[in-house]
Amino acid sequence: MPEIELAGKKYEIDEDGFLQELDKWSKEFAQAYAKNEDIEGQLTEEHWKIINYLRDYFQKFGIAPMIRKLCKDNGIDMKRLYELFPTGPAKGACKLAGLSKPTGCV
Amino acid sequence: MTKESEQSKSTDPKYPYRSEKLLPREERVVRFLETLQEVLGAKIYNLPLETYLGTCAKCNNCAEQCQVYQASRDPHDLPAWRSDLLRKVYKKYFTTSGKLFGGLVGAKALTEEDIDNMVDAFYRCTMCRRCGVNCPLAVDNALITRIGRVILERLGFVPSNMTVSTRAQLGEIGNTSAIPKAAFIDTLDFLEEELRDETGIAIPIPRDVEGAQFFFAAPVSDYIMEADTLLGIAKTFHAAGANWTVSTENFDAINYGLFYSDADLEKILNRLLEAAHSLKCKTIVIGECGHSTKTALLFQKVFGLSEYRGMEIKSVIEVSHRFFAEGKLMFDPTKNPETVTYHDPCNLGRGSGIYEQPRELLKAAVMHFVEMTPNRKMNYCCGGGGGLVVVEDLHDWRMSTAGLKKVEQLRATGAKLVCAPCANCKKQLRELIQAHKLDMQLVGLHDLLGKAIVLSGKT
Amino acid sequence: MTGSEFIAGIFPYIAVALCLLSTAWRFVRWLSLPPHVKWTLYPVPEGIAGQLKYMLKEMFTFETLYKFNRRLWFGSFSMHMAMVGAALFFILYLGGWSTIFVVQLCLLVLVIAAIYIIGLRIYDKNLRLLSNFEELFNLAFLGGVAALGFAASAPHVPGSLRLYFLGLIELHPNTSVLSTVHILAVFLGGLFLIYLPLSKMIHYVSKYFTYHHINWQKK
Repeated sequence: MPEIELAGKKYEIDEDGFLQELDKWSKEFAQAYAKNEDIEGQLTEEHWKIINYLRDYFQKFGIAPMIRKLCKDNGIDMKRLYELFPTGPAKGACKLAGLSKPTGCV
Repeated sequence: MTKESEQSKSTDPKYPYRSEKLLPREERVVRFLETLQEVLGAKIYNLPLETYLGTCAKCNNCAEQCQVYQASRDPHDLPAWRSDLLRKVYKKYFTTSGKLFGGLVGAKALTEEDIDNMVDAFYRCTMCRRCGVNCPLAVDNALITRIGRVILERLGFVPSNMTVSTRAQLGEIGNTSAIPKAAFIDTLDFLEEELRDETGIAIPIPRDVEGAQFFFAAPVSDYIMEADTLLGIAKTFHAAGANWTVSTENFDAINYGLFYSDADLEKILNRLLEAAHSLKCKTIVIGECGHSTKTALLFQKVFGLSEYRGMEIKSVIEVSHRFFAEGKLMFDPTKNPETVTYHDPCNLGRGSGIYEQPRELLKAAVMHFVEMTPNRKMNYCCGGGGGLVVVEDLHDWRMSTAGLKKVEQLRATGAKLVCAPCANCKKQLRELIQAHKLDMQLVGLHDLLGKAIVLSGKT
Repeated sequence: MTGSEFIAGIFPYIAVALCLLSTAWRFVRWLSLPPHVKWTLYPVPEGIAGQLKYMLKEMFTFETLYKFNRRLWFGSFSMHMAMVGAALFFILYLGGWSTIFVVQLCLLVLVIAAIYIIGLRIYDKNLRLLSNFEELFNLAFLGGVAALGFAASAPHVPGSLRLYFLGLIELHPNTSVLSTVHILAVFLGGLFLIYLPLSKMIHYVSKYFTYHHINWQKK
């Protein structure tokens, strides 16, 4: 299992870079990982809103929500979502939120 | 049979993403030959394999058809060379001439290095079958690729991205994206809410309706990625007054078995057929998805349990087209003013014969339709076919090499929207558009139909 | 019976019989393996007429090769047409409806085409990669048969060839009229007939199955 060292801590990730120990997630993890997902500088409030929303939904349902629902509930469109997370919602946003990897044609 | 090795999880550095439980190197040759013998003896494949492997004239016509070779110019991407990897082994061990004359007739004893080459080669083929269309001898290299992969899987060579999804599907959760039932129902509720917000009328997405005529199964990723496609499909069924249902137990049409394993293909297919059968539905309608449409169509009568063989299997495109032809659907094309082009998904076009229906629907539902060149049976693959789109480690290769022809084609259309009714193509085309900064967007077919459809009860 | 009497008097019957038997055997073998999985490649030409049209067009124009592999098409098309032409005009010649000259012309084209394709297979780097001894051997064999046939049809003994073949058909082969080059041509031609259906050149049969039974299967 590959590991990644972020902000002085080691995390187990899968081959695509998804956090394996979901309970190890922390805000520091997300911030430190942001650069790998093409996000420059500090995560903004808008980023955190999405990340927190994803984590809440995941806790309730065990999966990320439909992207349309994510946009609608957070009052943003797809374009803005891709601006916030350039590597895409299914990969980038979920990775930072510490969700397990979405599989299949996503 | 040799014992499965205990060294689970690949430690072989050559195959970072492609292997799960790799056989130790020294056991691979024997297992390969045992499996090839098994496949050749299986009734399903012996006619195509004997003719394909026995008679290729090496005219190399396939090179001109292969978008991977056209982009890479690497002789190891020549379809005939790739197929020859298996052909050499077949000749050596299963033909008299090969046993007698060996290398003189192109036969070669299998080595571990040959197996390494096959892992690379068979996962650089998108199984698009474009080369088959223009083969003078009608040899289909895609089937050879498939058989090659089926054998390699038995050695442990299979992209983990595929098997992880299949495990989720065949396990308790029951679908490739591991969407739990509660989340699925929440998503259906959300979609119904969207339908109400958009149209002002209540359009249901019926669940577990026993005796419904149409049993609808989407590629499950649509429930994460493709809201508009699903909304369009619900509107179409509604407008046609169709009696349809989804199952909350099994709502996933995806069958990655097509790409690497008959055993998994059979299990997944029967799960789907069983779900429709238990609800007593007559017709299984597969959502916008090429490979699962083709898999269900091709293998229902081969692997489906006998009690499941009577059900009809249709693509949602055929069903919508039939509604349209019967005059049940009305479109207002002004709702889609942008120029739209159509990408023929390989498994729908060459694989299932669905060429004209989507075009007729599009021409009715959009203002400006332009063809891509070439199109229909000559269309280029999106570059992520054969399941390669789910293999994350092939992303860069898909963008730079496999999808290059597609990018040129897309650019030449000047269209603002490219319509591709296939989950596999959708993912790849979206990534291509982003990677190559194309000034266009990807849409599904029912996304456009849904926008233009005229619903009664709506002012 | 001398060796040459055997070669000219008996061997042709053996060769033709083996050729027909092997072809039939391979045909029946593949016929006994119906395709269990529907591996159709669309579009399927409409109806028997459509399929026949597609097949005949492909057989007599080599359209797919013409479109995408012109260099090879020149050789392959000429070679196959010359082969058919040589056989056809030879029959006409035996019946007295054609001169031997047309047959010789076909044989000459056949020899040149075979040499051309061998050259192309060595010159073109991709074809070289794909070709092995078998491809080159088949071409050389066919070219050799044609060359010998060409030499044998030169008017050494006027009318003798025709008399010999007419005798063969009437089951009374007159071997005494043949020269050495005739005997050699008959021998090599016979060997080729025996080899043809056992080699991968059996594609004249397999094509029927790959198209009709696999690509165009609708059920």
